[in-house]
Amino acid sequence: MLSRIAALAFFIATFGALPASAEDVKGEVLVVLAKEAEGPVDAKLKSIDALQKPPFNSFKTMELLATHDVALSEDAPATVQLPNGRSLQIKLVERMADGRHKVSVSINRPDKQDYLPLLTVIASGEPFFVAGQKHAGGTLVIGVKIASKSGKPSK
Amino acid sequence: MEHVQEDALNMHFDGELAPTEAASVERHLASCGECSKRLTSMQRLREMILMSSEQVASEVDFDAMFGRVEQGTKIAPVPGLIDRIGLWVTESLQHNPMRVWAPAGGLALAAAAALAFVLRSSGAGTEGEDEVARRGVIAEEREIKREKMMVAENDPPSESNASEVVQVDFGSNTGTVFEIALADGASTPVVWINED
Amino acid sequence: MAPDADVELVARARAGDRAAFRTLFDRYNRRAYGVAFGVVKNQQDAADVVQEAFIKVHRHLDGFQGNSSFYTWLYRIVMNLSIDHLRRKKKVTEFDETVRKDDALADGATLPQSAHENPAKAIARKELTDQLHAALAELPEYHRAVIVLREVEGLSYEEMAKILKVPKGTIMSRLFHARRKMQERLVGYLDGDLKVTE
Repeated sequence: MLSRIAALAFFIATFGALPASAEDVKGEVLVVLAKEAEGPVDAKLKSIDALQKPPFNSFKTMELLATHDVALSEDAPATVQLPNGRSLQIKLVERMADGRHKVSVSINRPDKQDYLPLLTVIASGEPFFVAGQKHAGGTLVIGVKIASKSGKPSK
Repeated sequence: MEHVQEDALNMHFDGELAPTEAASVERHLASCGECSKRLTSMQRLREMILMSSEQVASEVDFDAMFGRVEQGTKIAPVPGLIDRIGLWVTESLQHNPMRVWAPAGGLALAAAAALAFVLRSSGAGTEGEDEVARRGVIAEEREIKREKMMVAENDPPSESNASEVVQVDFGSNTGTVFEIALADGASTPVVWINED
Repeated sequence: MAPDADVELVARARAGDRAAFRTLFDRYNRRAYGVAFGVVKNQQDAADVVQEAFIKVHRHLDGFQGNSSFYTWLYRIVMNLSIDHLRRKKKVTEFDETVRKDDALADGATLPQSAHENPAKAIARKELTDQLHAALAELPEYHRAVIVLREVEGLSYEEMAKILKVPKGTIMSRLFHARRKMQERLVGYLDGDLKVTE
């Protein structure tokens, strides 16, 4: 009897103390191949203001290689495979009082710890970028957008 | 007071900002001692590097260097050969013209064949400028210096729609964090990785 | 009379005009040397690089197609030879503090001699130069290349991107990083605590 009460107490202490799981935060990852040679610019990228300014304004060709919808949570990182064989991981660190989200972003090779861990506070607005990796004769530009409170990634 | 971001100040210092952005930075510098001091520091560094470069170049004997360059390229003509050939031709024409015309004909044929060969080879193997430049580089793995870069904790942003980088670690690479100014006073960071 | 344009000099040098090649050499030798020295950090090595670069230029004048400017082509050769030189040197001797320090001191000792220069000022200038060389030597070589091309040659980001064949963003990132590191290293000298006044 006592052992059952102890087990029940343990169960309540452990699982009762857990907060109700929060909704995942939606995000979008854009993987762009940028080149300095003249060429087409994907229509979706033309509307992203940041990509028209330095350090991106020397790129005359921008190809949207992939768009990934991700669900971010504090529990486990979302993983996106990149075309250069690396993987991008994004994890929600904190939901901030002002409506922004603190996330951690890292890039590594599979099975290796060659990480580029970044900790970024993101606004629910324009995407932020990780760029500079060489790929297919160009440069990879990775844009990360985080959802606004409405639950959809803002423009 | 919000200060000029590092990348914007660098670009302004290098004259790479668009006129409206440059004017905005100038207005800020006129009233911000801290940012002005940062700019002065960049200017001093530039002066130091220039001074050092001029000093070392003034020590070099470039005349002697050009002599060695000529040796390396064999620009100087071989003395006497033209004169010797001219003398031989003149003497031979006087005493035995066939001694000149027969080998001359043979030489002409050989020259034509050589020219054809050279033209063919150069057409296939003309090196572009890049190839010439690249030859000097040994194609092997570089040792990459391990370097961490920490971005200092930023002040709390004044607008809630601004993104910021709190911490960055480039691992085995180096890199820089840019801040792109957007409309309505917003900004967004770009973390640039140098794959050196 | 306006000086001959580089493209004319190249054409004449290609045809065997020694004077034209000499003019090109005179026009760019000091600047090429400044760039090479900035990367290899040793006077003899820099001289070797510049000499080799002009030999290469002369040998391959036929290959210069004029797609870029002559100096862009020359600087690209100088850069590649400088980096090449550093790699070869690294294999022979580890790029350790002793070697760097000796180089820096050796180079810093060759200050312009002036009968009128105050000895105290000369010593202060030498210390400044030594510290600068040591700070430059601590940078990764591709960062050193960029800061030298920018500060000594005044090249734009785009010009440097063409020479080093990397995106403009990489040029900017390396340059800003190099400046940051140099400023941190030379903080006492750049903020006026130890300056050489005329």
